[in-house]
Amino acid sequence: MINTKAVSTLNALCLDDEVLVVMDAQSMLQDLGFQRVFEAMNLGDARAVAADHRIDIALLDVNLGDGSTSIAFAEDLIASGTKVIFTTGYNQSEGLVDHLECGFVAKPFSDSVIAAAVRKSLGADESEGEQVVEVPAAAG
Amino acid sequence: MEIVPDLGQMVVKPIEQVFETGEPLLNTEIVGRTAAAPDEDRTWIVDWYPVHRGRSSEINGVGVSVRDITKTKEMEADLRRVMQELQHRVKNMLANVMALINRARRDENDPAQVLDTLSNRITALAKTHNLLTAENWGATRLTAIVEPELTQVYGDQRISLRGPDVVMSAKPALAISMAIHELATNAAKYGGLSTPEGRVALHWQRIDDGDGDMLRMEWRESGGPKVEKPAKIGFGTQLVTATIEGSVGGKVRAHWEPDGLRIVMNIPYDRLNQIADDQYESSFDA
Repeated sequence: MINTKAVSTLNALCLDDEVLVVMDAQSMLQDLGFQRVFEAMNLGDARAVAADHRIDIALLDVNLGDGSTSIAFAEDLIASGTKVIFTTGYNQSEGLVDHLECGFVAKPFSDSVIAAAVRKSLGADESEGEQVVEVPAAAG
Repeated sequence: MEIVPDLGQMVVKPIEQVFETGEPLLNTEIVGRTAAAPDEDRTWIVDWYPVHRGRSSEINGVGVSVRDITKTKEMEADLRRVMQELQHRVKNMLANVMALINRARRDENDPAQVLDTLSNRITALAKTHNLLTAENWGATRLTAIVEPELTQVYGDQRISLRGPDVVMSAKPALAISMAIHELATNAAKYGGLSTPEGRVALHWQRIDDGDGDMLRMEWRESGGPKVEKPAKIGFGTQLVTATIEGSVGGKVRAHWEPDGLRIVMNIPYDRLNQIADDQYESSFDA
């Protein structure tokens, strides 16, 4: 189980251009007990959320439909301490995100897969004791 | 065939090899450019074979047979791209269906109700895709999007559609179709379409109130049960808002009026023609 007490102080963001998928992901993250779960369907909205709020973990669809990808955004998030989990409908990442320290979830995903990926991402920090990382507001 | 110097280099080696071995060299692939089209890579399949004079075993020359497979190569690349896009779309579709299943499981307690809700939503998804496939994911008319959800289900006695001809690309078409389906489902359950006397009017126009060029759509229910603003935002409302605001940058306002629910959706007009997501068909056709 995820340590719900720790999670309850964390904020999450999910980004996907498919409305049903983003709403589903949001519900899944809410069920895991995050303090706030933001949703966005395009890069502009996602960057605006990240500029206004501390995001501890982000679930990002790699391909955003209009030809853009979330990779540059993910790089910025990771640089400011956010844990990133990519979701993708393609079989592989095609090497696009090999340089990033991030999690990966294949679409379609279930709540247990998301829970496991979140646990893994957050667990990576547990050895360092403190889970909550203050993220500067300049993520955008 | 006149070839540019680079290509000349590539020709020397196989000719030497045929002279040395006396054996033909088949199906070698060469990429290069011609003087006729110096900016364009072309691909050829070349067979090299020894030429003997009479019965002599001595090789007098090397014969060459060349086939230009540039077009085939391009088609293969196109096909790979289409296959990848197809895979992406199928996965997306499955992700959508999965999300619907999770949602129905969350919202409904009765298993029969879960399946009903699910079946209706998947049907709506399929209808929209039929529409988009029919138009080859190109331009779609607003009336073609809303009629299957409204007049074709509830009849034109109960549904009034009015507005100018509006054409849009796949992404806004999907968004509007999904929003209208949710509004109609909601009206059939609780609002203007839940009683025989109830009516729904969907009117739209192109306006500019100073906020830019907009498509303004007004959904007005009447004759149904008295409605009140719900205490909790339902999935349908959430879906309508997320779709219209998130995917086409619009604004949704809900008004619970004595007569029935009224929803106003404003969508920036230029967003209706944004190049829809994945128009690989067009590049394939070209």
